[in-house]
Amino acid sequence: MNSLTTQSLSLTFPNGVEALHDVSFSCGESSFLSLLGPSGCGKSTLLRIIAELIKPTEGSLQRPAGELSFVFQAPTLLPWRTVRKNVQLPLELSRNTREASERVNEMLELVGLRQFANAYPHELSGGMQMRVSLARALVTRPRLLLLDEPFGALDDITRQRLNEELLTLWQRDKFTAVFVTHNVSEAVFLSQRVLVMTPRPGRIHEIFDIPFAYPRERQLRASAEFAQLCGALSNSINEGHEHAAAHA
Amino acid sequence: MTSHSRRFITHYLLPPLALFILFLVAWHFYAAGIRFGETVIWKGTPAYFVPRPSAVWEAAREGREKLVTASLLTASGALAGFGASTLIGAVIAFIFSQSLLIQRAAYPYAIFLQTVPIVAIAPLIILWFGSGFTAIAISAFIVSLFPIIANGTHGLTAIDPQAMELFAIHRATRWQKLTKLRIPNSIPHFVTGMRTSSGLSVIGAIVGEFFAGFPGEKFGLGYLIYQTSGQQKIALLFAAIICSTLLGLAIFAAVGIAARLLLRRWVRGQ
Repeated sequence: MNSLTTQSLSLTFPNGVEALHDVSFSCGESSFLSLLGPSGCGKSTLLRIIAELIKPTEGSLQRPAGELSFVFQAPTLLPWRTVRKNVQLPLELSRNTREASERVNEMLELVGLRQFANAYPHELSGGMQMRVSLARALVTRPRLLLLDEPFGALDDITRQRLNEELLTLWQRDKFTAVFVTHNVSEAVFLSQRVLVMTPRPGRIHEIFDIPFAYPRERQLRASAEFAQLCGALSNSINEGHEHAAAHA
Repeated sequence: MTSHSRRFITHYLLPPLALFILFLVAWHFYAAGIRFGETVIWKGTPAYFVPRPSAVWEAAREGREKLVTASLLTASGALAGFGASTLIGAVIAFIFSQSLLIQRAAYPYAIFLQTVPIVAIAPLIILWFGSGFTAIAISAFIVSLFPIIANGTHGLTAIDPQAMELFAIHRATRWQKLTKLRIPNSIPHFVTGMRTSSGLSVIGAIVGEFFAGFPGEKFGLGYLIYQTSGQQKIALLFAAIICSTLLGLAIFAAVGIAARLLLRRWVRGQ
């Protein structure tokens, strides 16, 4: 089995606050799944449980075999390393230096930053820094890519462009992607399936299958079906929010 | 001349220079008095109270050998103390970063270094190490140690949590986290500590010399200040004070320039 499966994951912090309650879902190999919800609904926490950075208090987790990579909210580049050296870092850490420089060049080419290989992070724009971060995550050929609101700090135009680039990379490398966001149209544009989450405690409120075929072009965002689906997801988020508030 | 260096001169060199000249003029008239013919507006001060700038210049010229020797001796004491505090401070910071328990146990005593008046323990230093170079270097060392420990420990431990997660996800070893994350992250913090320490080490050396100055023919600025103030050689005293200030500035500037060259890669957008 190369799918990602969680079974009844729950997490209660030592202070008694329940961050996640009974979260179960499954996503197949090479699928694109988004976790959508307002801040505080535990979606980043869930992502960190999948990454085994946090242990759940209850439940179990099955991950696909192979490498895992994580793209953080901030680019999280090391300022003393050049772009090339930043992308190379995961290979250094796993002492996988064979063909490292070709692999790094290939990744820089893919994200369109070949000519910035020797620049330092502070010389790049926010969007370019995020591209470096993506290149670094993909350099190890991960089978599972976890993304924690990676484009949240970018302007809308850059964000949309990076969404399209991410899809291209996904279709090329066929990794399983779990994407955390609070942006409805971003989740719809990217995903095959969206889990709407609600806060206090974080749980899955509703699951949406997104029917649009890949490759998805930017015109998709202007279609009526797209708008309709975004509306349905927004309603679901608000409904879940009210539901949670009523039980608080 | 490039516009860059012209900008440097007009923005950073001329304003302090103009203020310095203004200060010299004010000092001169304060000491010499202001008169218009028979009318005395300000009668000035006696030379043993505030000497004129020209008298200080004269004294500095006359005593230049003494001043240069003294400055070099003080500089060597300060640099020895500064070098020792940089090395030992780095080692202590490293130990603190490796064990929170040791850090918690020992940090209060590191703060002790910061709060103890060096004047109060100078007699002990002389008792244990005798008068002379060692005592002065130790005095400079004690005064300049804490900023290295504090900034270094902070730089080794205050790591962006996401960077730590990145290293954890890629299963970095403890050694990799240290060499590829903690140590590079700490460099700018160490340099900040070194800047503060470099200035402090000169103060430490001069204070040390007050108590443990070199006996005999050769002595440092602190002892020169101590000696001239007792002998009412007020112009030479002023010259010695100015030398101390310039020495502190020179060491501070040297560390600053070295830091700028070293930190080019670390500094964002400069």
